[in-house]
Amino acid sequence: MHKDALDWLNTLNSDTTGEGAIYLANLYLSWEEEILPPDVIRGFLADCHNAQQADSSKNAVLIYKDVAKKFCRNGLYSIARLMEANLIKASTTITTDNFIQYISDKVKTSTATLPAPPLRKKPSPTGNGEKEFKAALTSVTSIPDWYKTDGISLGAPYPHQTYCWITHARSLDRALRRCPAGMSKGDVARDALGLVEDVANVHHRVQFKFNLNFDPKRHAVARPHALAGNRRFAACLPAPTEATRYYDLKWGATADLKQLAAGMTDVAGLPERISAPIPFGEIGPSLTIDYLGPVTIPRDTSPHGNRQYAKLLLAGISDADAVNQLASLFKL
Amino acid sequence: MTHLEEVKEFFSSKSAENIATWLDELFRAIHADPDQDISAALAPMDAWYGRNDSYLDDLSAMCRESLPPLEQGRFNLGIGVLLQRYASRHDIPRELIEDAVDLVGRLPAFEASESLLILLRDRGHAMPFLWYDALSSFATLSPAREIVEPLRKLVELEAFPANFAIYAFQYLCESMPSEWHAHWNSVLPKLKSLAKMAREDDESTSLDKVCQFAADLLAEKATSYLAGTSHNLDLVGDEILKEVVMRLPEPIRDKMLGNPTTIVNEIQIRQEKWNRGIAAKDKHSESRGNILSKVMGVPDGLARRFARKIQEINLRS
Repeated sequence: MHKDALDWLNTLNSDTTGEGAIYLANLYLSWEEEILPPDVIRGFLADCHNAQQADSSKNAVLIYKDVAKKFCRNGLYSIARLMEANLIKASTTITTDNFIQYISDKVKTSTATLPAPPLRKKPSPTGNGEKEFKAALTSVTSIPDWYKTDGISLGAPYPHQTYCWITHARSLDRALRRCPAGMSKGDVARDALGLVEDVANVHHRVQFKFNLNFDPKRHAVARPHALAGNRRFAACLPAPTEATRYYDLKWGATADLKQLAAGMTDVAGLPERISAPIPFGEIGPSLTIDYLGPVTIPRDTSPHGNRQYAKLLLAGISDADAVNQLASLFKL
Repeated sequence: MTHLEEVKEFFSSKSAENIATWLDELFRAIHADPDQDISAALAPMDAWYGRNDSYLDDLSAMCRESLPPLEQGRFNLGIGVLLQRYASRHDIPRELIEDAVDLVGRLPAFEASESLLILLRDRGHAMPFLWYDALSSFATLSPAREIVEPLRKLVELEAFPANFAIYAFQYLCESMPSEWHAHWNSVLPKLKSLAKMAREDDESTSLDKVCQFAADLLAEKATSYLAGTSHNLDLVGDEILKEVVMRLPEPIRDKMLGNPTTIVNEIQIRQEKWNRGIAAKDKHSESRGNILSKVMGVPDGLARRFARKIQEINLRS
């Protein structure tokens, strides 16, 4: 199995999109920081190898994502690094397209003479589009019990809600207050949270803010990107000062895509944790919603950019070393 | 072969019917028991799956990034076929229908907007939340000429909730401003029944909002007329105004209009005159400007210009 793991990890690392290199780096760091115990990593790699054997036409990145999804569903995060119970004002964002999923039937079937307007999936491109969208959002969310409480949670993707990316609301608010000219708040949030969106003016973002009482028994939390199989550039960043501070506080750090694009080496964005799905009904009473705006500046996810980021993550460890050390878990 | 090429090839060989079947299988797999292996159903979109906030986002990204216009059009037709299939069956889980309706606005899939009408006609009674979802999709497609016909027919359906009619009017006006008279006539029966219900319920505050909303829309039409972007402003404006004013409960009418009887009477008199084809006099036009200013919040200057324009038209006629 050592040889098989070695071969498969090399295939993952050489993926032409560069995504595989990021997954490799994160998997290695999850082991090195003891976020994931060796037997879990061994099991994960064995499953990847088996899945690859079953479908040799599928590339390694897709295999990684598939297997990671299954691991996440099977309670991956319950074995991840836990933290103390504490109450925080938390924040997460979604695209406006998905907001309608949270609206309750009470709003949709309202019998008021002038009900809240049907919410567009994104603001109209006409002059007053954003203003009108904000007004409609306020109108919807000012109705008591505007949100669904059954079968819906914070966490993406739905309906298979496997995890939820959350940050400190005050950290994101601070970043938003420094919104530079020429960028929308949607751009700033996207960059600071490391949300990869490589098209301009397709998505608009809204922010959820809510009180969350972390309970290690109910909200098992992992450092970002242990195995989660999406493109998000969230990860533990070994060296930078901010990331170290977050780590000391038992948080991970996102990568700020703006700094990454500028070729900086210290790209720590905001503190971040992954939580198990958070039932909407639980946070609803404290929930506030802000429209952040469109994402107007695409962030490149070129193979070169991905590889540069993976290199940053590994902080001096070569990718060959990372492959060898992970594969050597099968020699133990 | 790259992912993009694979996806393109996959869909290029599929008819709208095949695409509807593929979408149906995808929706069913997604909404099935989470422990079920869905990787087979996800092909060919697995390169996108899990990349965004939801699988519908992923599906949109797949269409946007991999399908050329012709295939995209066929994909959209496939959504339409699926909506019609769902319309004719009563055993389809709610989540599947919601996702199909959502996709129409999200992609956007103009080609499927007629099918929304069929779905609501057949399932709107049993699933009343779908009216909101469908309007949300129409709102997202708006402004677009393609939505005018199906949206008008949608509002005219018996089961269409009257209290949402004013929003349908808004999307119709956005999409085809020059036809606002016809749009108004489409939504008028619903608004009348709403006004009747509201008077019975004495929801004066909400009614006030409805009136204000209609007045705002009319003011918008007047503005575009004055700006030269619309040439179809006729006395329908008075009809709307009359509807608005007549619907006001008395205390609000007093508050908004100061002396309601005079204005309402004046509107009625002028309406009758115009109905008989009598040309308005200069004074008449002046009074129309005052009403615009007073009732609809059109700035005084604009109202005066409006009055002058009416005067010019009257002189020509």
